[in-house]
Amino acid sequence: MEDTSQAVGRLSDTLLSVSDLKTNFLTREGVVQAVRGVSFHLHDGEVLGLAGESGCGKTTAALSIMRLLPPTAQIVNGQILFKGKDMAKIGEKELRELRWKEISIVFQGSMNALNPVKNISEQITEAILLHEKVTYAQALERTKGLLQKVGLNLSKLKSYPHELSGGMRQRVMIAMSLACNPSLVIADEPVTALDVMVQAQILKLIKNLQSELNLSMILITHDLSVMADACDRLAVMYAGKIVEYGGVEAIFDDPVHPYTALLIKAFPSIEGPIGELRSIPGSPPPLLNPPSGCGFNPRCPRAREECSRSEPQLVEVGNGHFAACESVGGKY
Amino acid sequence: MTQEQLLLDVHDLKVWFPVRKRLLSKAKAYVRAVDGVSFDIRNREVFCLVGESGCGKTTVANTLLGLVKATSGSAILHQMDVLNLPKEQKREFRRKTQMIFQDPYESLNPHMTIFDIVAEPLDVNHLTTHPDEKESRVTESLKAVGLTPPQSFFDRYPHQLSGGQRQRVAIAAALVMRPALIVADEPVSMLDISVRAGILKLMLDLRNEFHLTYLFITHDLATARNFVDRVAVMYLGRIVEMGDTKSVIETPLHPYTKALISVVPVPNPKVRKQKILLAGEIPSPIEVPSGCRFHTRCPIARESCSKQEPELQEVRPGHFVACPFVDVK
Repeated sequence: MEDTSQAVGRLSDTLLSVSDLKTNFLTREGVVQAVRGVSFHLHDGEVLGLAGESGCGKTTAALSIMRLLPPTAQIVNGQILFKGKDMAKIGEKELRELRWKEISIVFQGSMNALNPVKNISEQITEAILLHEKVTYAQALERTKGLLQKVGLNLSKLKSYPHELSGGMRQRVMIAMSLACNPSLVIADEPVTALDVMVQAQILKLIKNLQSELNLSMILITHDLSVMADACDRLAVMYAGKIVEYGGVEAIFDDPVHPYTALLIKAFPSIEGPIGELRSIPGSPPPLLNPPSGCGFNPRCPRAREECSRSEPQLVEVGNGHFAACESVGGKY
Repeated sequence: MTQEQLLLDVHDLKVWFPVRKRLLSKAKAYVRAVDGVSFDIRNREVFCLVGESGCGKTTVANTLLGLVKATSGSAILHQMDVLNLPKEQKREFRRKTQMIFQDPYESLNPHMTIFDIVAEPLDVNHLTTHPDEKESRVTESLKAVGLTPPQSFFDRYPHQLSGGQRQRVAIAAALVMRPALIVADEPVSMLDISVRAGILKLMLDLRNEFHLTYLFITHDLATARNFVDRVAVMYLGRIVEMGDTKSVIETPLHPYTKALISVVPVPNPKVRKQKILLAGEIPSPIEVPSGCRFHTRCPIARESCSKQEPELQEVRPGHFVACPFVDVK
């Protein structure tokens, strides 16, 4: 087994560095602060997991990187440095050149993400032709190579999305994300809607491709067991912020933030002793006018009076392992 | 087993859906969604049907509830065959059997208040004559599912509640009928992890308090392991393995169950399991493979497997497997 901290040390080239990212949604009720100051970095060839429950801001944070946000959303603060360029600031034209060629994305609902009236071959060649100066014949050759790479039979080349199973559609999505040889792939819940056997097949495919092509990946999922299986490092998000961040083994071995610890305890496992599953009472704070202080404090078993006033910052608690909780910040 | 312990006895249930080329033409083929399923549910147990999508687990549940018509077979509950009920008994049966669906965002009427949602089953079945009685039963139900104080929820609407609270309302609406059996189809799959355990624990508490029995439908083996008493694993319309949860999940015998359990990811990065990846996908239930329907993907298939359809055999006390070549040690 590979020690993740060693892996991080070896691959020290930083590909992406996000600092103090804030993204708001403008709604009729007011401003919803979906991402409230998120910082992380991604090394070359590394898989970083963004974990958290629905509404924690993990997808918004990832979509902000590609600037694929809906019109009501706005990046209001922060820097997204990708290969020396600030993705938050560059113009539309430059952005279009980076999208897909440098950063691509695999969405969860492959039924909705694929065009229902175009066959598989048309969709993938279109992506290639749009971004690269190649002939149709060359693009078609590459499409065939991609389909083989993701384990799809070439007889599916002319199939339409509805003719394929969920697993096959997700393979098409993965082929499409690799069409222009990107250096970063963002995968948003890539296996969530799939059955467990198909999920295992797709996860294996993603892991094989990732090491074969030395891809950097951001894997977004609520499923901690998928994270444990597939990631090098993990960022746990809660109420628009990262509450814990570090090597995946360090976080599972010794979760420092109370939310991470409780989330891991709430997760049923097929292995090991059957402990009593614990739920976390209460629900996340509203992100429309979020309360001051630590976002988790109303549900936190370790909360003190101070927690509702001061906002905890990420503090290093171990080698490359950070947590944002006043009780570990050395204050108490 | 004595009659008293047994609540529901399902025997050789088949549900086939005809596939027609045109609206009125003769059926060309059949989708064999459920193809010979037998099991029994004991009083006050949590019995679980588990399997991948398309295995027929939800069709079994819907058929038992009378939402889908069975092609053949029987299901005996309190001396009645619930698949062929005369009209007057149907109402009584509906009272005894309630359901909880997967998505509490879809299953609750957004225009109705929580009080009306929970009271509706009473109105439909003409169970309460006096408004006070109705209110007391709704109050009792809401209190039982942990929505307290109940009165504060009466006039609220589903959109004002969290996902976990909505599922509690759905459970209250099932409970208000004082059923014997609750069919729960993926009741926690749509909920966030942090609230799932609370809902499952509530369901177990209610079982003790109200003497309930559950038929639990899920694809999630890890949840099943932590929650249910007995489990039946389905593949392409048939049960391939059935027994006590501990026995089936810790020492699976059927090659399909073994593979399925081996690929469930574990929330611990240090555990690297030996995964048995099955090639391909589940065959179409229209063209079911001959003999053992798993033989096309089975790692231990032999020639004879494509000829003879195996029946469930009791290989350990209470542990049944539909494969003649399992290694029982």
